[in-house]
Amino acid sequence: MSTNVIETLQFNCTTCPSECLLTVEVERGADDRVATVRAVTGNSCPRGDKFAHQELTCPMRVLTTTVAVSSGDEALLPVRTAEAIPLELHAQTMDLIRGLVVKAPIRMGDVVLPNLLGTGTDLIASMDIDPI
Amino acid sequence: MTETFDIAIVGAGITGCAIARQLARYDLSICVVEAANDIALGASKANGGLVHAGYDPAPGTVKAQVNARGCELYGTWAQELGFLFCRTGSMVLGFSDQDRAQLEQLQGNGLANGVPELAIIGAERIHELEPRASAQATCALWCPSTGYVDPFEVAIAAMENAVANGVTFVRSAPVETIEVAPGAGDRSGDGTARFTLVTPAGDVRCRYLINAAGNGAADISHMAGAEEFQMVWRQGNIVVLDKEPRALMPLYPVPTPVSKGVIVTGTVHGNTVITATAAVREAGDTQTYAGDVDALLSGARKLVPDLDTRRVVRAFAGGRPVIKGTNDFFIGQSAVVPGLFQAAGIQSPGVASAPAIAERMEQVLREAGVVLCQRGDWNPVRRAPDDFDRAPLARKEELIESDPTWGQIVCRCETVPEAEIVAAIRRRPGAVSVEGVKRRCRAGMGRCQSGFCQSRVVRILARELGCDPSEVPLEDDGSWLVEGPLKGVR
Amino acid sequence: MATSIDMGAVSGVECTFADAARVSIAAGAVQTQAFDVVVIGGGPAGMAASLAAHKAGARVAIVEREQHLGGILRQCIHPGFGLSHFKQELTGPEYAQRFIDQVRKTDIALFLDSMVIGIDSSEDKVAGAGASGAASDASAHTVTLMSPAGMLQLIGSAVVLAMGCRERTRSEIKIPGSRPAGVFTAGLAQRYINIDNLKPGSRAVILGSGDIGLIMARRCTLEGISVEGVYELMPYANGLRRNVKNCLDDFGIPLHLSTTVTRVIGHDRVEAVEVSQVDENLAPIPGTERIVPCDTLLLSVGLIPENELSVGAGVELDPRTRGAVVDQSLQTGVPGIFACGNVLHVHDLADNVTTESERAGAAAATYALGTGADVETGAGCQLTVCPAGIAGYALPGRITAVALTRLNFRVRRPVDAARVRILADDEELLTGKVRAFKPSVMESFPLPAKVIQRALDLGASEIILSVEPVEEA
Repeated sequence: MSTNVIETLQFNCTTCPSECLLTVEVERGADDRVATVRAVTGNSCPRGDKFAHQELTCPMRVLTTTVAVSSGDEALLPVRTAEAIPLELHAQTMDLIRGLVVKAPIRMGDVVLPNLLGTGTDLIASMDIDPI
Repeated sequence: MTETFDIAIVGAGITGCAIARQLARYDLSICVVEAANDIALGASKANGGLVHAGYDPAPGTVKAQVNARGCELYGTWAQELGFLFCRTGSMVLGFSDQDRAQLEQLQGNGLANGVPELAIIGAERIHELEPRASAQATCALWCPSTGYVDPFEVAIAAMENAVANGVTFVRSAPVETIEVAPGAGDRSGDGTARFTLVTPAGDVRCRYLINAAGNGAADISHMAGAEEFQMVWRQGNIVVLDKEPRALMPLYPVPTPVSKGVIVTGTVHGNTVITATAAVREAGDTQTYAGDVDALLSGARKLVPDLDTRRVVRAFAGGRPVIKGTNDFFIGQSAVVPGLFQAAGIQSPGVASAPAIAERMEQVLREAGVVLCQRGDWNPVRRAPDDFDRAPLARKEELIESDPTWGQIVCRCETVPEAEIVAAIRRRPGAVSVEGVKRRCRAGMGRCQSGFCQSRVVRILARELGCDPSEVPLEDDGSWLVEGPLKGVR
Repeated sequence: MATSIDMGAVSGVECTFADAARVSIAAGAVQTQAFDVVVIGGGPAGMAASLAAHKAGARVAIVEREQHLGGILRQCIHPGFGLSHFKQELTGPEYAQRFIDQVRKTDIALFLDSMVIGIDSSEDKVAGAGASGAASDASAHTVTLMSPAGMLQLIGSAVVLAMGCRERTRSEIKIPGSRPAGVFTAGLAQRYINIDNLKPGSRAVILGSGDIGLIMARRCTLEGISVEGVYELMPYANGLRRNVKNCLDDFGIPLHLSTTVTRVIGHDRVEAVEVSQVDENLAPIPGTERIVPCDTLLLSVGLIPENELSVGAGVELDPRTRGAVVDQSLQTGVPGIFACGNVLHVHDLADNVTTESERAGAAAATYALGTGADVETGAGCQLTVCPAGIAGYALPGRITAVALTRLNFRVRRPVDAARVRILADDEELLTGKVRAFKPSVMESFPLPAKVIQRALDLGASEIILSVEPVEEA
């Protein structure tokens, strides 16, 4: 237990435009992973605390990219994950959708790929694409 | 190519294009061989575009003879070839009594060189002629015959006219070696080739060879076994500023021994050009330098104090093709290899002199015994392509009615619609690169420097040329812009 | 064939043009349509202004040069939009689509694929031609546009300028070196990648830590273009903190501060760039040059409001913002012409563009319909607003009404502690709280009516907005 190292980290909360600078005291285990988040300060609302905990255990991000379109008036459809997914899955998702082609018409919110990599989160269209 | 041409011209700069245009009126088969993938990619695109009047060269030099004559011919050339030419007049500004003495010397030169209507004027007249000229200027040499052009437009127009009259244009064909058949030159016209130009685009055979290779002129002369001379790369940086409500009259400082100094001038499209620094650098160096650009901007402010030098649209550089040991042009038949004609060392004032260099080259050929028979079907006129931005409203409507893509603006800064870009690609010889499109119809020439339109121009080029976007170059062969698709591919 | 045109300034000037067709003739019978408010630009600013004007009862037209509404948001596929306006994090296209859907539900006239080539506000173009005919005293504006369908003139009682901005280019920041292919503004690269499905290179260096540069660092990385580093001339990152974190830190992309590109290397295609550290005057330090091999250089070095049309219409620009000088209702110096969004001043967030543009649209409708309260004008209120201290600009530049006015500004450098001071005739009228300021944030400071009245009472002609760093923090 006493091998754990206590460390102070600083990063910005990105939940809202205020971008509070958080000061976070963490305890790292022997494997160098964050074992416990001991204290979060600098946040001006409870969302900062939640963000810090999430960020230090499994950072989550919304992934935005594009998917090829066939017979649409644009070559590419902008897409996003409906919710944030683990950051570590972003590269794998990009590989998964590189060869994907969706057919127009497409409406914003249409599901392009359901349950992305078993996350329970869908990949959805960000914009309408009309047929040619 | 199996055909043997009467004449091959190496180099499609403004000199080569002007000569091709001049000779196309005769019953000759002519081929222009260009190393790059387009016209005017060397010194001809990298200069200030001034049609200097001709008071600068020392009397008695070749320059002195062709400069004033070239400037005079520009009016006719512009009319016949349909390029924009503004004869605005110019002033060399003096700021002291010492300067005044120099201006008088220039005026004397000008008189000797046949430059018309030169006058030394005082401060009041200076500001009448160009209200933005420095208030510190106390005297000036006023020269009404000076003007300006887009130099690449002149070269392109001349070549289009030459091609329309039967001249063959071969691009992407750098001359690697020249084989010269033994003998004293072919003056009988029996059809045997004397020169074979070996290029990656194939061999070009000809009876007479004209060297108009600009900065490559010494190499061509050497390959043909003719005069050995060396080129000096006298590099110049140039800056283009955004458009002004009224284009500036060309304003010169009092010249230095090696250059005319930093000149401020308007352009045919209303931009301001600051031209040029002069520094001997390694051959082929077209880099811009921070020190040069600063020197240009500060030099320009001395002539036009209210110039907003933040509004830089483009900075570029080129090398003046100077022959080492002389500051003069070399136009004539080789003394070593008969049948080879040289137009070498065509540095400044090469643009101004081009029509007269062509005229002189014609005379040199005639004197060398080349048979020049006027063709009955020669057409001196090249109709200017439609320029949407400059067209009056009624003509704009007409164009859009004829083809809706005239109403599809691609380049916002210069108001260039798709149809105009397509026309630039389909002209003969047409554009094969993004910059080639720019030089023909100004798409991408404006203040955003193609930030908005480049990807659209790439698409149009790919469609028109029947190639993939990844094969569309920015400029010369090898200057690829994009690799290929990102999505929809495994 | 050839025509000589007198250029006006110099007698005897000869300008040879190719053919007579180029000589300008009077406009023929170009079709016209009348509206209360003509909005130029269908991006976030134009759509918000149009919706607000429509809501106020005006007949509105939007002129958009692309075939879709949405403007630059269509290529800004990243999240970070809508946090303040929709209280929800949206991508650029989603943010745009919400407005597109709203516009589509109205009878706002859409002129897509249409490029405005001129705005004419000359008096003789005549008054009272607006659709509702209410603004009979005001001169109408003629907006000439072109499209594949032909030329068209829209007569508007009011015009809203919402053309957005363009990117600063390599030439404007004078990067020396050669001029090969592979130097792109970040927005152009974004278009290649997000719209055109084309890969602009394999190995990129990014100059400028503005938001677009940061966003593109992530986009490139995700799309298999390796990013060698982001270089920033200033000693601090120019973009939002969230973007530094999510776009660089997430991917281990280094950010090199106080460093800039001092040379582009490569003949046909970029082969490398030379980077150098800079001193406190932002001048490169000799001896610190380093060669970074790459095939692509992306530039995110600033945005410039695109005001060529505005200038053509006689609108005066503020040299600091390079946008129009406006009053508190976002009206320019030309009566009836309003401006909003990035054509007015470069914003930090699209949400702020929306808020500002709603005000411009409503004000334009009020002007066109003649429904404004008369008390606001003619009260002898004529104040200019000037920035001081570390404030880079202040907007609006003119105040002509005694009413609560939001002053926008940005600071020129980051400070941990500073305060806003409002001064007139050397008297301090108002001070703000001491707090941190960053250049990446567009600030908003409310100026109460009583402060404006006080300035008038002092006989001042100018209000100074000064942001002053505070020594003890």
